Amino acid sequence: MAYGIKLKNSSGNTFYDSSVIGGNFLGSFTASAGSNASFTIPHIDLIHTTYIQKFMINDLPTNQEAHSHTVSVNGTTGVVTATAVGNSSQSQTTHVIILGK
Amino acid sequence: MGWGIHTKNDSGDLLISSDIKAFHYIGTPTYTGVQQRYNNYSGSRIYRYTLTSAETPLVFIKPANVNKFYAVLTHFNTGSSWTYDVIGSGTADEPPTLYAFAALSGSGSSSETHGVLVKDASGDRTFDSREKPLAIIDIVSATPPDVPMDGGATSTANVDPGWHGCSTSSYRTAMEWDFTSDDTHTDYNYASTNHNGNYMFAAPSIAQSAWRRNGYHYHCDGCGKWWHADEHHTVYANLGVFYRQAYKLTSSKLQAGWCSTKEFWYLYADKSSWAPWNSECNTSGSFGIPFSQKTVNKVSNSVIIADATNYV
Repeated sequence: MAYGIKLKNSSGNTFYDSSVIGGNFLGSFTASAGSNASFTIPHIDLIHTTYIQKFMINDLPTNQEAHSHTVSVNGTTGVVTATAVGNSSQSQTTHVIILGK
Repeated sequence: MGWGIHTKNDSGDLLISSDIKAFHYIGTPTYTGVQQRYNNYSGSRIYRYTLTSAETPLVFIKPANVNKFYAVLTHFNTGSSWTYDVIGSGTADEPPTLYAFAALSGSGSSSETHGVLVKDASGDRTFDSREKPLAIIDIVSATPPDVPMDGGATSTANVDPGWHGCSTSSYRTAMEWDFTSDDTHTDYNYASTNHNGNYMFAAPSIAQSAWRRNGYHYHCDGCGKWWHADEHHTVYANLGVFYRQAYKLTSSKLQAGWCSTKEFWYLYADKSSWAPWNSECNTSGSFGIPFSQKTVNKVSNSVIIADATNYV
């Protein structure tokens, strides 16, 4: 490593350097069942790639299809949109976590 | 950015910033037990964990058995209390170890006096080397195959299970299919150069898949025979299995696959006649499968890979 950053713990072991991907937490939001929701990523200008993790939360129905929202990201405006899928009973609450690098 | 710090990695990606908070290690969620066991085919367990965090956590799974598939199935949140259900394949209890990360707040109270500390305009910490910031090795967008079963897709055309009186196990045997899912997965490359046994991944399970087989049998003993009472033998049978998406991390591949979580079984076997030797052998209730012959929620989801060594 000729340049960059290298962080070591008190034992002298490197635990963070400029070869890793930073765990940048851009935000999270919850889209309620049957409803659309959106979230705006702050400082989107600092980020060139976003990553989405979608979770279905709480107890899911066991007698029918359970659909999570579809999620899209506008990389220019930083607006993350969650769109409900399925009918009112099929649509489930979706939790979205956004990371970026 | 009027002021502050932005540090980028070797690829030009944002590494440390005074504007964006980084995830830091906040602890290992407490394992509280098994919520559900399913022991047929590839089997599965649903393991439960609890965690306290004022900030939204990101939970990683360090597999207890590297040959099994795991994923975060669901979570429940009330205030700062979080409960996570994690699914794992297999017919033995092998709960993984979870590692939780969240953004920091405030100025911190570590006694360590060295390292790197970055704050935002509000004075909240965005990065604190004393608090074990999350170092990601790779992020892979992964989806499982459409059909989870090693035996391939089932057909809804009726199979003939034959007549076996009230022997449920005989009907069941006739309706069987290779519903195992251990060998059905889509493989992805990841940055595995320094792979070790402490690698962990953050991965939600949202895709669901359900498949069924249908059975029907009819024959008549005595029909058309004047010397024999008519005996109508009728069988309806259904066997189905429900799956949830899960992942396995090998030393070179991320495998997006499935866990079988539940099965559905229905049997109606009836012998009817005007003579007094009728019988009827039914399962209680209906078949109950929520849907079948398809997969829902199969969309790309980010799988985040890191090394737990630094957080043990």
